[in-house]
Amino acid sequence: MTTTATQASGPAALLRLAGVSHVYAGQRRRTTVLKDINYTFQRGTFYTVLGPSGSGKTTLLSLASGLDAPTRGTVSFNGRNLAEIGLGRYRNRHAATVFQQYNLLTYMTALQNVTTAMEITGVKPPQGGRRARALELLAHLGLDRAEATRNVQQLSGGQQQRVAIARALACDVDILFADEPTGNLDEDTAQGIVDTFRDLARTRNTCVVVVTHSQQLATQSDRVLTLRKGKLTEQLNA
Amino acid sequence: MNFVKRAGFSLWARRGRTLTTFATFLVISVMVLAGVLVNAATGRAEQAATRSVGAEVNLGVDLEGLGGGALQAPRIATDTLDRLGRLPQVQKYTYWMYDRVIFRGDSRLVGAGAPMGPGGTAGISVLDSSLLADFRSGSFKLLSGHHLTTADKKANNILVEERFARENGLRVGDEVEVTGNDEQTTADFTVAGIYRDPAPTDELDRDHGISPANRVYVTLGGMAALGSGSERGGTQVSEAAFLLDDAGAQDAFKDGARRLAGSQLDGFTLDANDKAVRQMTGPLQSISSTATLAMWLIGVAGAVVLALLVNLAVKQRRREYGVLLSLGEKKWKLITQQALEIAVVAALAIGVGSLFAPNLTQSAGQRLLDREAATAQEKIDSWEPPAPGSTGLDQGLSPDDQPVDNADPIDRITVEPDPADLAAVGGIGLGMALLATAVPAAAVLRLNPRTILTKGK
Repeated sequence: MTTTATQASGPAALLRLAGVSHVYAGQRRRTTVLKDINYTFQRGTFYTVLGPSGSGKTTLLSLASGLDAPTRGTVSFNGRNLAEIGLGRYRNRHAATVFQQYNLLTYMTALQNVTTAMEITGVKPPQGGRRARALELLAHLGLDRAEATRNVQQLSGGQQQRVAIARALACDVDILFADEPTGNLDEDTAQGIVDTFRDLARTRNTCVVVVTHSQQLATQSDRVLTLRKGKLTEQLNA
Repeated sequence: MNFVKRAGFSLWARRGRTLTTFATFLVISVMVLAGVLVNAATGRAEQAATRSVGAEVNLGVDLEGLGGGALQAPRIATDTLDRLGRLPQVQKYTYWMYDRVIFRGDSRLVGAGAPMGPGGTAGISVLDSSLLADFRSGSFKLLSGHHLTTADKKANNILVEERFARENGLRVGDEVEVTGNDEQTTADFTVAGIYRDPAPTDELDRDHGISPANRVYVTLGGMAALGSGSERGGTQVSEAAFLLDDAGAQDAFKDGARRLAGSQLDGFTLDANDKAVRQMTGPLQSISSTATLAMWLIGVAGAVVLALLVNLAVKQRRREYGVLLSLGEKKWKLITQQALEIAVVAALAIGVGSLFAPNLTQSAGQRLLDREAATAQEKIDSWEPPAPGSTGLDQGLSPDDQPVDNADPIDRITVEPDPADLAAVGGIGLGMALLATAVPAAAVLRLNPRTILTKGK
């Protein structure tokens, strides 16, 4: 069962996309990737966004995470337009993204990647300090101390993906975006990540938005959105 | 200060690139510093040479302005020259003019073998003979008696060459009877001094066309007594030399002289006689210009290489910028991090370079100077005067080619690192590095993080 993805903003409304369209202007032609999308993401909810390749999933994630601004329409966080908040400030204080390509700082260790993100986003150092918190997160994602203190280029793809996730988790944000976060992971680790996302939504009231091809992952989310031909629709889980 | 820590991580993790940049900076800074140090050292040596030689400004007849139709060279009142001599830049001065003098009685010209005829000889009336260039340089030597000075300006005194004195049996204190250019006015003169001109008897004095042995110097008062040099009511002369305290004051003196004398200087030239300084500093100027050229060539080439290196490094770090921006890092902090990295490398390279650049420059500069000074000295030693009776112009010799005595080319430089020079090189190096960083970094950072992170994906 599906429904057009429009929701009224309620008390738990966190991020609202209103009339969002996005066009890529090439040298010869303009490609409309997203068409008039209206949707509100809630706090404490785990979303998955499905869709075929080239459907605009990554673009949607970029606009929602403040990496780019829409060609038309507005993206609002807590009722304030991102343009007003400032995309940089929004990314710094409220949103974190786990990229498909990991996008780690290659001249640092796994641990340094995580602590650097904490320093940049100004996360209040937890009890025991940033380093201890970073090591704890990395351990939770299956990286021991030796791996944590190794340069990220010396880690496997799956390990790098986990470092990227640990970095996002460490930033303690209101909304977490992830682009195919489990694509490079084995089944057990992937399930561990999904559990972490669900736990984040449940216990910390974080909004988690995951772009994926995995139907299995989607079944474990609270809400499943489908993007097809630039239109976003919501599939209500039974 | 998170970006400072990141800069440290980056420099350490990219040790290969850091070392390459360091080496490039080191070479550039050493070479540029060497150029600056050589220039500073030669500048100091030139100043010292100029101070040791002093500066001289000569007033002479403007032969080019005189034209072919002029019958008589212009003259200038000694009162005016005395006023110029009181200008603050002047240490000492003298002036002179030439006229014919005829010694009476049995006086003979050297080399003539007969009593002096109506042609007489050249008498040079001078305010202070000790300040004439040939006496100052040591070329002419006073053998006995005293110079003609301002003290005996009004007396009838003369200074004769030793061969003339020998030919005529003259000694200091002897009296001689001399007739002036009008062949009528006669006065008695006292031999105040006897000097030596090393030029051979048969080598004609180019200025007067006489044997140097027959040249005599006369006091201004003595020449006036013979009716010469006192036209229009006052003493007048045609040449003067002003010795200045400081070579750097030449222009100030010339300006002051022109202001004071006005149109009285028409028909005259005021030229700085810096031939001795030029002879001494020729090798220095040669190595200075070589060093300057090398400095600019290496500086510019190095700057280009460095800019390319930094530019490439910045472009290779696009993704890093994108990641940091996606975390909400401020753009100015990214540029500052990049700039800090290059500044640290540049400062280290300049620091290390400044440690051994002075020794390197001293050694290389001295070797260059030794060669230049030897060549210049060889040229001086091999100079031959023109054949007797010839001006030398037909042999391609110019009077200006004649070397100045007691002005050996400087063959020693002392390189001393000056903090101001080091600071200037450091400042230029850092500025260059920061510019090479900021321009490409700013270009990359104009993009949004999504564009940076997805470009080439």
